[in-house]
Amino acid sequence: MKKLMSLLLAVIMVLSMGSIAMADEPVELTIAVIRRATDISNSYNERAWAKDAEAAMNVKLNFIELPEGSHQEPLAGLLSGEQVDVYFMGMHFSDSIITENPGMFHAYTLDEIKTYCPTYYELAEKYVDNWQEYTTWPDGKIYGLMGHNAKQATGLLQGIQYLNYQWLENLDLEVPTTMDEFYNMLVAFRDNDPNMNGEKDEIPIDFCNANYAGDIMYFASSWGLALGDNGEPLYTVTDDGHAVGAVNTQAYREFLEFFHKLAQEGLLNIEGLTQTKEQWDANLSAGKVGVFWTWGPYNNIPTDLKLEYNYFIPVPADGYKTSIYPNNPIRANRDGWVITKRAEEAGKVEIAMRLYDYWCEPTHSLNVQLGPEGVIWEWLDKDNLSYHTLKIPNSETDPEGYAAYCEGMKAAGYEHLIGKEYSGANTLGYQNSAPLFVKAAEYDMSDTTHNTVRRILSERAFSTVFANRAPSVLIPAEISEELTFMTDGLSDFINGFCAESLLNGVTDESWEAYLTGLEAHNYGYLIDYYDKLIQGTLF
Amino acid sequence: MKRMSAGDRAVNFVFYLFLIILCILCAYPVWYTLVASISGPTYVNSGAFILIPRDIQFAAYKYAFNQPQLWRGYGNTIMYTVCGTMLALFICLPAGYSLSRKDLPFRGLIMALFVFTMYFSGGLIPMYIVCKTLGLLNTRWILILFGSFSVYNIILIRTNFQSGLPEEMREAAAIDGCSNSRFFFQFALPLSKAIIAVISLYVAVGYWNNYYNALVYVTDRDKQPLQLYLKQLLTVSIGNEANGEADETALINQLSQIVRYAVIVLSTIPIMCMYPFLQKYFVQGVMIGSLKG
Repeated sequence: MKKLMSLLLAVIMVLSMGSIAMADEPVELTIAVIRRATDISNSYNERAWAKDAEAAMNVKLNFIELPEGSHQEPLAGLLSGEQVDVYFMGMHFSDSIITENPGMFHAYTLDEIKTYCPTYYELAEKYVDNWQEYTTWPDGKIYGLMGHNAKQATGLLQGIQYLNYQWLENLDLEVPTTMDEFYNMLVAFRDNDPNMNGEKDEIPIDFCNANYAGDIMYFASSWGLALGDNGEPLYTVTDDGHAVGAVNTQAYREFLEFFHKLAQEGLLNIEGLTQTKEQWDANLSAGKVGVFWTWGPYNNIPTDLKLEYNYFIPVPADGYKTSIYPNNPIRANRDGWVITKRAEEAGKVEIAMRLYDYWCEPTHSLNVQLGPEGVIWEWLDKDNLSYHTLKIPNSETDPEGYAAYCEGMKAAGYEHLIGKEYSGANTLGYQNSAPLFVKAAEYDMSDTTHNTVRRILSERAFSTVFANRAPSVLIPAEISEELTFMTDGLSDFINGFCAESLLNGVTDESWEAYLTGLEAHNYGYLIDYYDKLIQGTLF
Repeated sequence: MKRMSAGDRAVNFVFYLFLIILCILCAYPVWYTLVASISGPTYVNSGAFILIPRDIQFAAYKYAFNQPQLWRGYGNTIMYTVCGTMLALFICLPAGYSLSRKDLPFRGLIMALFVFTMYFSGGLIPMYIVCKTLGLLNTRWILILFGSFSVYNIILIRTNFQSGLPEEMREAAAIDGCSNSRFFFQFALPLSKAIIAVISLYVAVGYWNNYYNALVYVTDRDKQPLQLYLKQLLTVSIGNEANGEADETALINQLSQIVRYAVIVLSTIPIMCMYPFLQKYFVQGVMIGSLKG
């Protein structure tokens, strides 16, 4: 009996020691991430927020870093080679990858999300309307957890129109409120040397089709056409919830004719059809431009010249109402955290989900998104998720602050970046693909020279003329492929006619030929498609 | 000395004119790249014609030198080029010599199998899976092995040995007791400096310029070559427009064009330095490939 009890005790001891050893063994997760070309900071494997998560969650993280802008080929290799447990690539991981290969990824259940990601679930329920519908694929399953900001202070729309108010002041002009006043203002810009350099080098309107926020199509908003980069979305959503044509209307023709007139009279820089962003920036930086659309002047003009520009809501053309296309109010991406079948088969789903939930805790999320707390950002009111970013103190004017900053960077493992030029979130953080966060930084709105404050004020003003937009839902692969096939070449045709019209004008013959061409390129099919999408009858 | 006729002079004039134009067309982009890398960004970005530098500054080089990835890539590229070239010569020279010998058994079959591989390949995904299975992913070896075996180079070498080494020399050496390996190292190689130089240059330039293999098979930044870094700079806007916190966004965007030119200059310098030393052999050997089969 004693021998039997001793043997039983020995077995129990061995098993328990074995389980302790197993429990201490960290689970290894291989995570694919995106890295910017100019990121000069350390490897993701050495990031402070990664090390912190390893210690807290008892995991071993192995990041595979794919180069931004060139990630498609290596991503194809990773997908075929089944080497990755989690894709943490946010906006760089296309929905279509999952749509076309659902069998390669783990499908989250609502119970799993509630159990393993309680923080994420709570934030989603509280701040993201209809998040379950938003993240559900056409087959009824959820393959990704949301990432990045669900709602943020900026990004409600793409391009914003800017006007040089200093020129108005120099010429003693009022802000135009009608199209005639706008036209007269442009003529004054061309003729009266508003930049006061003694040369006739002014460009009243400049644009850049090579830049997503500087396209000529944005100007169509004055004719009630909410068009944007490359003319997207190419249709108008009516108040009663239908999609109708935009680029086949009388309004669109009038827009083209007006801007052809501007080009003929030297009021529009026709080179905008082909100039590069660098050439466009050179015109803007040289103080030659009166009106242009862009994300923000700080993206184009490195000097305080950018402060001469302020937002300017497009004046409506006669008989029309200004209309601007808004972005999807849900800014989060669906594919923030995608777990693969490889991880599912290895039993790593729970730990992977718990890891993401750990990073979704607001402080951790900001550490991942922006950089270390107290160095790059700090809480203003954590209960209300209110925070702001910190500027790097000037070593000459604020030596104590600078010393504290250096200490903070050293403590966070970023000593090698002190004194080097880097772009905050894009180097220390993981801005565009971060874990879910639902509020943006607070800004001192009285500081109207701050770039983001100016953008926020612009967007608030422009929100008064937002157009209706179609719902953002996932489309089954076969239906979206059919749309792509049927409308192949349509966008190029529309943009080509726009360019030709700006150069040569519009005649009745060219317009009729254009309308015929639209039908030949299945423009009607596109309108019908989006009408059904809005009505909820597409699939 | 025979005097040239008027017709000959006219033809010469046309040839020289054509060559001068061709030279300008080839040389101007190189000159423009150099000049643009040290000119002010405003002039470069405006697309103005530049023949001499304007607003000379070295901000682009300063920015480039501040990037550790550039120097890491430089070192990796040099290593891959040197090691890859040596491996390529080690593989291709003996293979080419062996195939030039008429007494090699199954020579025709071996050559046919080699040539067969030139017609098509399996594609990206099968190759990736093979490399993964062999455990070569994310290693330096994969960047050295890829490109070391080239059937085209083997054919060039084979043709050179066939046409440049008389069979009688080999027979005479054999009569005197010279073994195959000794003949290869003491006779064949010393008499083939031209082809060795040409193949070395072809292979070295191929390794130096290659970025695609690193892009697909190597994810560790410490192992990535310079050209991959350059490709990323050329394809990705340096400043992040959506980040309103970046006051330096516009400045970085303004510099981005000239930074690209600076990195192109820096990545081209070693290859341009190599050419003068190998030019003598290059001129001799470039016609070797014209005698195939």
